[in-house]
Amino acid sequence: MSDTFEDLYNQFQAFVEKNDEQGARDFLVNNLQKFPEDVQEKLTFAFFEEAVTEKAQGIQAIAEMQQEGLDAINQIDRAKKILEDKQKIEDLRSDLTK
Amino acid sequence: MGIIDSFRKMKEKGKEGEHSTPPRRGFTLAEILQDKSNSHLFGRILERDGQQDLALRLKEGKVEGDDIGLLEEERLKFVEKIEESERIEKLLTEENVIAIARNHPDFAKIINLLGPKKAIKAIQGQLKEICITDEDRFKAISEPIEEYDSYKNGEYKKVGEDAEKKCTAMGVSQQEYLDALTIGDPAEKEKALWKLAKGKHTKFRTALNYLTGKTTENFKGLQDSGVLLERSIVELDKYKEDIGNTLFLSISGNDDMLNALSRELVSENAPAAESKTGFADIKKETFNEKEFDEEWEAEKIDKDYDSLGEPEQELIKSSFVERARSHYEKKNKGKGFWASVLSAFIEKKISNKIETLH
Repeated sequence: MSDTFEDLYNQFQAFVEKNDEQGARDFLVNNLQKFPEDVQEKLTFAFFEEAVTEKAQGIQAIAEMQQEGLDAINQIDRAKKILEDKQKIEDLRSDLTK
Repeated sequence: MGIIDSFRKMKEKGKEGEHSTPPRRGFTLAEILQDKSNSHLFGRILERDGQQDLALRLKEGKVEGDDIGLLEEERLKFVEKIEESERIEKLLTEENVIAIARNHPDFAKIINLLGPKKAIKAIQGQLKEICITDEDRFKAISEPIEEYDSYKNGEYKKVGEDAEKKCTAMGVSQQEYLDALTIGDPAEKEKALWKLAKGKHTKFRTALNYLTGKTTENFKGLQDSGVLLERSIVELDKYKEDIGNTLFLSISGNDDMLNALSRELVSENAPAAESKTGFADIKKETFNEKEFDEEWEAEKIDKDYDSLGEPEQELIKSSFVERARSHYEKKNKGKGFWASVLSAFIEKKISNKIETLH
């Protein structure tokens, strides 16, 4: 089968008709280089746009989690200090009452 | 007389005696028009600003005296947009693009097929076009690129370093993580890492909920109760360990683990569905060839096309095709991945149609 743009477009439309999203994605990736240069560039950009957006969301989520985690550890350390001080007072009190 | 000669003559006439900062090399109007890619982009900026008539006069080499000022204004806007795009393009190094591809299997395949250099060239070309034609989309893509750069070099790097120091100080290490890394089968390894990330993060959330009072038996309650004093210290240590374990996964330097963890976090924070063109919408948003042909017939009648000479007919054709392209472009603007794919196809279909219009 020849691979003119129209042929490729029709093959892509077959996935649309079947509502086969994964098939359509695989088709675009596996046949990318058969598309005319200008279409190849636009498709490459569409995949890049999706990848960079996902990457940035992940980075932001990790950074937020790290910040939350660091704040929580600092909070725990402060709380432990308070509790340990209370514990010491309790121990002293119980020693005095012996 | 060609476009450039026509413009040069008009400029000499209209701007005698004026002095201004010399344009950047390659960015005088004559140079822009001589360069195929820049000339196309300049046409897009004129279209964006509703200067189709000026674009037409420029194309026909019939610029008028009043056009000089307008063209200079548009040229300055053009240079500004190109520089804005170049600022982002500089961040697209091979290293960055490969790193971005790591957590996106489809884009990774494309990088492998085209090679990073060709892929970057394609992306940079599209960035310039989008910077001019779709500011919102440009912003939506330039921000994540800057975000990634910031992760590597800026504020995020500092948070990551702090987390790493904390884990070192706490002596966190995880055998299960090291075990998962030794799994040979990539699919099994991914599954194991994701399971680990999910499990650790669930404990992390429980610890945070405990500290912020979202669980019934919270930190404040324990702190105020003398009876639970000792138990609470033990519990705090446990929660600290759970938090440390997740932090450890986030700073391990292993990309597979980081991807698993970030997928888990992103899915947790996923916003409500946006109104983007989904795959199922493509069917109804696609190029309508029949409608296009009918509109073309109507245009021909309206413009008395058949009675005109070839140059006028060419202008009517290109203006009609341009309108159709712009119509579909607006329809699919800023609507996500499938809308971008659809736009690429529709644009090609329309530009192919010009050959068939008679």
